[in-house]
Amino acid sequence: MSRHRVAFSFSRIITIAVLLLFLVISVAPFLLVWSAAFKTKADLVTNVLGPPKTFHFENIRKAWIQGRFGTYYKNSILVVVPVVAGTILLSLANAYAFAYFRIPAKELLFGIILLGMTIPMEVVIIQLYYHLLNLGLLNTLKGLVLAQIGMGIPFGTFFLRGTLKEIPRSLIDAAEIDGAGTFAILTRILIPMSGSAIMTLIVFFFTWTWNEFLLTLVVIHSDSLRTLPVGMAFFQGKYTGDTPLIAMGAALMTLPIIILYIVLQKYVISGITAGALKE
Amino acid sequence: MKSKRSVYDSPWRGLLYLMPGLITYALFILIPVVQTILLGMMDWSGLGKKTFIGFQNYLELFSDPIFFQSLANNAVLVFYIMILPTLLGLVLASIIELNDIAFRKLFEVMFFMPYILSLVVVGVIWRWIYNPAFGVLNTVLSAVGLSSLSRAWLGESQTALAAVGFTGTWVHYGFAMVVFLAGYSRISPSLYDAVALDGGGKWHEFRHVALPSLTNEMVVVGVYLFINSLKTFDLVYVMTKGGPGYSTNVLSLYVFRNAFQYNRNGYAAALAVTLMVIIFGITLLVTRARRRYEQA
Repeated sequence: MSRHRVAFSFSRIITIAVLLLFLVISVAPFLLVWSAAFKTKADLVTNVLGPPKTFHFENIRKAWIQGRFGTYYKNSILVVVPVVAGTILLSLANAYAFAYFRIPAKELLFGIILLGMTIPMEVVIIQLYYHLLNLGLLNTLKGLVLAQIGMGIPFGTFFLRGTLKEIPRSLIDAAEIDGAGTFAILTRILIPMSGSAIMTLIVFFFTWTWNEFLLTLVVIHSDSLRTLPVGMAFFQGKYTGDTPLIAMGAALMTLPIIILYIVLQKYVISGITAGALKE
Repeated sequence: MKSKRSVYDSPWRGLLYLMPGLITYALFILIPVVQTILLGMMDWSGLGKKTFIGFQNYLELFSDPIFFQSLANNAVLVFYIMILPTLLGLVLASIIELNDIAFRKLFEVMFFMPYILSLVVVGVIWRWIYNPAFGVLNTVLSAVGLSSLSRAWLGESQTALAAVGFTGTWVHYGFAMVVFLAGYSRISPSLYDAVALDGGGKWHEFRHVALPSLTNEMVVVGVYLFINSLKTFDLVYVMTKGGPGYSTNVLSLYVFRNAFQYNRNGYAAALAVTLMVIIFGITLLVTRARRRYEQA
């Protein structure tokens, strides 16, 4: 009996050791980068793992102004806000139409939209480039935003259609008898009842757009229009030798997102997994 | 009394709601995709005229060693981005769940953290970790007296692909774990009680209760990460640009290069379509198998 207890606590120690090891693996890269961000080049060569002996805050200014992280931040926000708002509005209208209206060739249209969920970006970008060029939208944030909205609509429509279909039909019928129009039913009944689904989508489209790289790399060519990921990729090429500055760039990119993540973790985890797995 | 008419019966009103989204999607996604599929059968430098060449691009694919090398590299990434994270995620979720670990929320939140970041910034961080001169990995190795193992991890073709792949493992295992934890939360406690009556231990609980109940999660995570490994672009672009040589070149990068650097748009389109067909094929196959499994 006692042997069993010893074995049990031994396995418990192993278990906790394994979890702590993975905790270190997950977190250490962040801590190392944030501490490297405040070192000088000379410091970093002799002291890779330790905390900075003195904090060199001038790296922040250097990355923000000289490294143009301020501009990249501004562009990322200018892209993310309209993409999230636009995708959700258009997806909501689509989902509404598919869930309740009588539309010719409804199944076919819905199928065509669903197809977009599995189309890889690689297939879109080659011709999108020339398409945007012809429309005069290449190398503009407007073009980037429109393409991202187009890319997001399939999942947004699919997800919200599921949400809207779960709302009891009797509520809608009752409102209709009271003389409410389709728009009033959407804005006064359906949207307020879909709050958490919409919140999940906001988080998903926010992180997705914020991190998008390949599309932006193809569409945007001026440095002054680059978003954070593309800006970062070029920045690291330009300052190859200056690891602390690159680390500061990485710190500026990761820290706000991680703070936001920890504050909103419930929505972030559920939003991102729902988006990824299309459940 | 006339038969009941609903405001939802008018097709025009429905189409009105549908139009803005449908047009945006068609204009910026659907049309380019159809054009790309057609372009796969043409020769086009991006300027001048397109020449129809039938399936020549696809035939060329089969005699292109770089294509096969890329495909093989993607297959290696399937191990690092799909298989390893799925296994680690399952093990960690099971450890947390079956042992009633305190602070489980802390582990969940921290393990998931790498997944929310842009892969570009992940690539930048790990490029520094692998840096031969003052990178973290070599510093740690020499600190524990293993400096003979230190090397230019991303600069040598023997280690570069594994180094990129491991970064992918780091990003994805927490994601897999979170999905498995969600799966565990759907298992009814009464199932465990049945095992307890039989006198089974933790291993029995895992083997006979958890594992069969988590097949759905395993399929979903597996397929998603499989597709992710096939679409790997950001990490490779930032960490190695496909090098040294073609040792970390992947399909996505090869599409990008052919389209925007070598001006071989038709060939790039054929490559991209091949990638899409593989992804569609796998998705379809798994959906079918699942449906059959669920019916049985």
